[in-house]
Amino acid sequence: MNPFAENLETVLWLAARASGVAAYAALVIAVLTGLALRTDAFDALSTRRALRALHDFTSWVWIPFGTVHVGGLVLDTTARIAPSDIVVPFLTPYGQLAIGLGTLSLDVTVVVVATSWAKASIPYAVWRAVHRLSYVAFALAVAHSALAGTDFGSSVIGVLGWIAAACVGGFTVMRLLWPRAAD
Amino acid sequence: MERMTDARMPDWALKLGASAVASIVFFGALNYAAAHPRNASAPLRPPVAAVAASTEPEPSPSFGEAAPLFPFLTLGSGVRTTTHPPVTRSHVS
Repeated sequence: MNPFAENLETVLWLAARASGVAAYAALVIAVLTGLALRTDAFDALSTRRALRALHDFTSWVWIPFGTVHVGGLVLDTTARIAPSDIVVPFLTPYGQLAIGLGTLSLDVTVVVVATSWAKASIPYAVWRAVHRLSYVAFALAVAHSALAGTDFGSSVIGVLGWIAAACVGGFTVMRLLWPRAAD
Repeated sequence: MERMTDARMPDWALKLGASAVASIVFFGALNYAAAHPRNASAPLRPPVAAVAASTEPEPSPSFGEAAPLFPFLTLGSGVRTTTHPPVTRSHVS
């Protein structure tokens, strides 16, 4: 392999790893701000209107990192991820479960985001049922990170990742036990 | 009547903060990945592309086999085996 191609592969590999961690962080923010709308826990931080604006905005934080993560892995020939693996899970030549969970998480997240953008033109009950799948998407993303994440096993990134997942879990319990009075 | 000011964060500050957090995480992870490009404890290892196995040994490159830089100059080994019997003693032994 010529040096330029080797350097490009290395750049793609590093970008895919870093953007995967950043996409995970953006997903944490998205889920936390969604939970913030359903509990009183974040009321001291900001108004509900501002929290909703932030929650709507988090898609635009997540999409670039998710795109770089997936695109980098597809373009990196060493990773052996086919374009079809972005949509269809469990077809990769290795790590079918670990990578397939990421594919499933991506698929569900795309559906959740798409229905949110089309919220005005679909029944509220449908939107709400689909939107609750975001908890499933986040759980799949955590499992994908733990099973496939090259850096999730490191001390710093791994600890921060698990703390973030625990925060989402804690606020989910809070949302179930002590929902906002308006619910 | 005194108007109460809301000290809570406006939406633009929240958006800026969320973007900053994600960007800091990205560049921090990029810095970590650049420092550890090959993680020995990575859970996944893609299969290496199959290399065509050959049983015939390949000649190692040498000056004699490469395209000569100066055609009039031979840098290959000039030592050849001889048919003469081997020398087993010298004048002093």
